[in-house]
Amino acid sequence: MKQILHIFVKDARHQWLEILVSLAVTVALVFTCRSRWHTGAMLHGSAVSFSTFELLGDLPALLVLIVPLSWWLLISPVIHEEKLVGDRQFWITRPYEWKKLLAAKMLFLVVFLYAPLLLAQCVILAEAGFTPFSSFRGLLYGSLLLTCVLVLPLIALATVTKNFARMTLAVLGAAICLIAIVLLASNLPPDRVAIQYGREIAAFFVLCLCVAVVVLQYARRSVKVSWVLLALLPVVLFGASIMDGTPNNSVMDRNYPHSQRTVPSAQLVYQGKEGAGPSAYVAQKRDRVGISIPVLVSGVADGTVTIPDFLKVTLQAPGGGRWTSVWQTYSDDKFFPGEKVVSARFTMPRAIYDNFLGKPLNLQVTFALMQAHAGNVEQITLGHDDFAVSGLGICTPITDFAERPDEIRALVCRAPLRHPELTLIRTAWHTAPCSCASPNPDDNMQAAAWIGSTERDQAEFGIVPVWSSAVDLTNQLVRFNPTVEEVRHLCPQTPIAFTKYTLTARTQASFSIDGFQLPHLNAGQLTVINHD
Amino acid sequence: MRLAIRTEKLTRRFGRTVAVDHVDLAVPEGAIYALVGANGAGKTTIIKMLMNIFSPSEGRAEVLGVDARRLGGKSFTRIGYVSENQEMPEWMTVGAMLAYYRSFYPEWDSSLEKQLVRQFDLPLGRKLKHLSRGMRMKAAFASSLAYRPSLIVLDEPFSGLDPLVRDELIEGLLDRAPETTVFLSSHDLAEIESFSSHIGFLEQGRLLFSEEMPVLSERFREVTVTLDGPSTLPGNCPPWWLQPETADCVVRFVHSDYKQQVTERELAQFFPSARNFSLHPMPLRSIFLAIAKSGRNHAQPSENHSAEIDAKGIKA
Repeated sequence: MKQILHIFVKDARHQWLEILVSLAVTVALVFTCRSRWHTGAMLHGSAVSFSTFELLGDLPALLVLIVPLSWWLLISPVIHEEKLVGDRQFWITRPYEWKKLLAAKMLFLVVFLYAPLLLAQCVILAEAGFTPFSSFRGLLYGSLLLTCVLVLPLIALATVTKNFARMTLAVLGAAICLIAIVLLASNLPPDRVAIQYGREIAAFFVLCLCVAVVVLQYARRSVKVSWVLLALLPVVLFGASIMDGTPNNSVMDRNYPHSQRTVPSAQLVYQGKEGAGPSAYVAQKRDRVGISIPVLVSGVADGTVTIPDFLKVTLQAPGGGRWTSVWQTYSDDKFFPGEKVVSARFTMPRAIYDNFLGKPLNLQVTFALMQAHAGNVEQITLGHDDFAVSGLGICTPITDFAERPDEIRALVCRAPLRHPELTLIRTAWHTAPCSCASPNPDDNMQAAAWIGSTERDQAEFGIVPVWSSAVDLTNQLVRFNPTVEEVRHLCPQTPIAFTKYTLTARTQASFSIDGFQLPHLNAGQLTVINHD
Repeated sequence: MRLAIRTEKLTRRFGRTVAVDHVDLAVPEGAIYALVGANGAGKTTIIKMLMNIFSPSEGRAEVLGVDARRLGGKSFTRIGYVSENQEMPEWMTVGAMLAYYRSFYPEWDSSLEKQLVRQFDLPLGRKLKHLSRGMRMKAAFASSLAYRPSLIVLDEPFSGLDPLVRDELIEGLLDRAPETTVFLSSHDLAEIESFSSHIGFLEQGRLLFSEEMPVLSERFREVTVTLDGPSTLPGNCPPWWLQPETADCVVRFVHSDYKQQVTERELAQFFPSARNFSLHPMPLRSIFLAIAKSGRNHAQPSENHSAEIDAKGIKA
């Protein structure tokens, strides 16, 4: 322990400037977040969720990216203080014990990287109106995610490089590799089926490789072997992107069982004859065709909502030709009690489409559905102040219409560590501006919006532990559009209801159609929908 | 005899280049062993294998009874290592460096540290990066001697230093010599001749010889043979005659296996008409040059020297 502390103190004395810079950036981030919560402005928790253009005009948000850069400035010199590459280092012929040296470096990172970050995250949570203590496990889990995604790879690169310049080159090389992998993966065929636990296996391999490089370097300083191990990382990541397709049937059957005991969460019927009929469109990938089929959804139980996650299609021609799609994602739709016609969209290879076009087919569509049950309804009267909603977090009404400062445009709700639980927000619009003498909401103009998700991880990956989600509650941003006939207003003192939905079941539901004919693609059709 | 360093067929290859080729070394405890050789002979590579900086491609080495490949951590509390091109914590002052190293060594002798600082006139408050080359070496020496190591390994420690600094370092080293083993590499022969007890000669990765200094000095003689008439070399010169040359009526060569009686008989056999034989002891530098210029085949003393002489004499 004495040696560990001795090395730690030496590093702290030498790296004081880097420590200071890192702390200053972290403190700046805390102040930025603090001002954001008070104005209700958005600040995503994830460093990777910003677009470049947003960042250029948003210095505070830029800080979320500068924090990891400051870690880079911290990790590189502290590892290179006793560098592991070369044969002239002063320390390799001194009584350094590698385990203690590694422990001293880890202690340095715990004290000057993790502790300030945790402290900053606690302050941010407190400033956002949450109790840091109750989120502490989630914060530790978040730190673990940051370690796996950012800190450990940086440490691994530092151990195989001589100095900051070399490490910078290595980081740039790694970034280029990642970009290349993303580009290559985007061109992979969409019909590939994921290997079970493929992501988890790849993450485990990446973690193991990084840990192995760090330990190997400290124990043996085997630079060549370490580089070979690091070179395996892009291979593993590319392999993971190949394996990361749509879920396979066994996974889907396990996660969305067909069990007899499972009550169907919705009834689905083809609505081709009464409605607009099926249509075909050009999918984003030019060798694929998108098909849209009208489906009547009914039978959703009161107090529940059915959320379609995936759909799978089987087409069978009378002559024996058969095509079954992989499970394709189905998003941005929710089925409520009552009847509703929705569009079931899927894509298929152009060659198969051409082959089946004009033939009477048997079409079977299977949906993978989640059923969520409505919980307590929390009703609040809208004001201009922040208000807390159980399971959702704290919401700030946004009033940024210059000409009508009393009107509420949107809600920005913030939740600790992750997106909030799935919640339905309902309110009523006003047909008259709020400044009118008695602005009563029109009960026939119900506004509804969903916020949150059913995913319940300990924490999501991000440096800022508060996740904001915005819900626009008026149409005033498009009020100059001539198609908008009536401007909708949301005024203070309007009741607003929050219904929390809890996931209760997952199931599959299907329907089939005999004699189905694939619709024709219209010549010169411009519809391009990304549905892969 | 206990050995501080022992190697068996120690070999190191870098790609196709053999930097060290099956070297067998034996350095007795208490010796001041000088490993000499031209630049690129493999001295630094051997030292780096001994210090477990490089691992051998073949063979093995033992340092203070420990397999060199296991050397590390606490083993270095008994070993001092100074190299001409070793990096140092440049941002530290001399005083901070000594204070930093102090806690790593249980045997650190603070009074000796102070003595070394005085002896080397080290500026404690100056940063290492601001020191001259000589001063840096002195600081490195002080930090490697203050814990009274059992073995001091020095890689070209005096290279490029002015004579004054060199003398100061040698003096500091010799003060510690009675209680330690010193293993150093150098290509500056004049400086090591005065204090080395053993010497090993390395050429192109091969150890040509390794022996005690007095034995080596005794083995080499500069021979001048004065003849009555114009001189010619015998057609079958023995391999231990290095750099034979003739001028007028004089034949000169370096005898690398001098034994008084045997050599005299040998000379008489090869030069029956010689007017005079003159045999002079040689300084280490001259021995080194003679061996280097003659090539490795002539360096090893012969076991059957007398028999070979007799045979050649008869042939001649």
